[in-house]
Amino acid sequence: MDSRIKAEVANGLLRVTVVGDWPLERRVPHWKEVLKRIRGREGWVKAVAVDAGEVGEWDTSLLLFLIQANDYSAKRGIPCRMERLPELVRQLLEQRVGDGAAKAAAPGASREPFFAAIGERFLAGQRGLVEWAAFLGECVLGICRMAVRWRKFRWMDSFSTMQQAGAMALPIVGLISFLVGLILAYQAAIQMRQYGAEIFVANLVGLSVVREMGPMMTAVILAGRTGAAFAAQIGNMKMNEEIDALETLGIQPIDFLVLPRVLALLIMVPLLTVYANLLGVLGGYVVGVGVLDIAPSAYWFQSREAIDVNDIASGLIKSVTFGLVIAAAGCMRGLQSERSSAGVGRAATSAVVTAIFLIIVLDALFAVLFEQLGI
Amino acid sequence: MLDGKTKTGPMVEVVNVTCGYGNTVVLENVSFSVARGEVFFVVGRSGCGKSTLLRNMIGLQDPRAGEIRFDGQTLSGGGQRERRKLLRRMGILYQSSALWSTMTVGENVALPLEEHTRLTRAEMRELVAMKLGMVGLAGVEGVYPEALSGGMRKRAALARALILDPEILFFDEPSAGLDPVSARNLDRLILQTRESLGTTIVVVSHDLESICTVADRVVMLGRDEKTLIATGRPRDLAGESENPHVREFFQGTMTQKAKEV
Repeated sequence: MDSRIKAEVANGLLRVTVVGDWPLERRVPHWKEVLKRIRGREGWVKAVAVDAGEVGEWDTSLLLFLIQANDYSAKRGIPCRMERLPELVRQLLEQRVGDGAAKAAAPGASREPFFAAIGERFLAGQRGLVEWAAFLGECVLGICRMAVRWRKFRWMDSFSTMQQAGAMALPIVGLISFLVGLILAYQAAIQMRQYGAEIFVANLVGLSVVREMGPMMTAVILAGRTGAAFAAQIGNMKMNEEIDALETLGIQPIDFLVLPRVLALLIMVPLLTVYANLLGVLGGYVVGVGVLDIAPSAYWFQSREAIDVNDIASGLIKSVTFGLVIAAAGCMRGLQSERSSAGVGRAATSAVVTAIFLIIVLDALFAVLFEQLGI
Repeated sequence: MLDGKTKTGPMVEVVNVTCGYGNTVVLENVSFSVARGEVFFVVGRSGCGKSTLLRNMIGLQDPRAGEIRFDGQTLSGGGQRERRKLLRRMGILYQSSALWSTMTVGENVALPLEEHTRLTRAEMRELVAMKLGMVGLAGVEGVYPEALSGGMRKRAALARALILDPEILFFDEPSAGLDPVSARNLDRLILQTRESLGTTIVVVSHDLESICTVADRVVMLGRDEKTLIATGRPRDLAGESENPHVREFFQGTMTQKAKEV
């Protein structure tokens, strides 16, 4: 049978009768419908009575309706009487009214004032800086400890990280660098062709790849690939009490987890950058020789003329700092991670964002620095 | 270090400790001491601060106030070297086992040896095999922890906790996540450890069965009272305690026992 309601107002009493089956999966009447039926006479209502004597099968949907009735009369400050309720409904309703009272007593989360929110943000930023400083300080202390106890250094962990972060990243780093070189060459070709100076595509691609795109693309790929992995792995270890287990053995997580990873990236990011440089130049070469009809030897010669050792060195110096930043951001966010799967996810995200942000900032600083030094 | 029995004085003293996390204080003014060779349980309902107290005891947090002394020394009192020395005398079995997932079981059990001793690889291998045998896990050295069942992980973690022959062993909810049979086996292992090595054992638990079968002495923490609400032998607490919370907690055990009989 359909769920229906009957509503009538007599002598200031709104009398609502619920009829039929009230299953959740069907659309059941809302209290608003009662109000719609008695439109115009709402002002007269001085009391509400709900009669459930004729209800058929029912579930929580009936309860929902009764709660709406209750809330309505509570809001208007008029009495609400429930008649002939099934026993179970009565109990559930009482329980709900009790819970509601408890909720009202608990202080609600009030909105923060605007300036307080700004202040909070500022303080959070400050805490972030302090955390970075503390983390880097710990790392330096760890390096000092390792200098003394180098036998205890986890070389094997470092090597396996090198394999994971370095060797296994070769395909993706290679592909992206090749494509970047290709794209640069095409873009350069369009401009250079206007002056009949296609051969300078070699200069442009060579210099941009070696000085900027090689180190940068490698670092960004590794931030996403390896930095996030560090954060997730360490965050998970924290969740699983593995970090606690290290600490209670008297092992510093910095020595055990962070330094091997930092070392691995300090070595692997520059090496990958060299490889990315080669593949980037190769991408330019393919366009130059294949599309612009530059003689292979001419392209090769022009590239060698254009790229100085200083250019390669400046890229590699940057890439070392990028490696440090990626490893540090990944490990730090992992160690700061909250002990929940959502927390680990946030740590991984934050590691990537932090690393990429710092990579770009460092790159900008290096651009200024190298300009000043004339490298 | 199996000579713990020859010394005197309590193994662990918790003196007026207040602890908490963030802005909440969960326990205030908690004091008790654990005798050498005792199996000591810290019990209480969920959320009463058992785990926080344990984290304070094993040095993962420093108490807000008060002191926790091991054999007369505090973890935070001395320098790094003293702290390491003291930590070396403890073994901890974590609730989630906390085996390092990137290492095999054998490497897990061997790591404390690598950190704290100058044994050769062969000696380490032998010791690891011995301890794994002690917990009934002979021959799993090459397996990664993920391949083990929950109960086996607990036992592997126990082998790791036992590898340095600790004078004191901490257990955090040892029976959590175990089936009743595995839980009882672990209880038996706890008792065996005490028998064979004379280790002092501190267990944080709310498993009534374990409390009644294994514990020599119990302290109960109250969630609302934020401090100790009872101390004594489990059997005495069940019947005689004046605190209704304590009776309620232990009566659960008694009725369970009655059903078994």
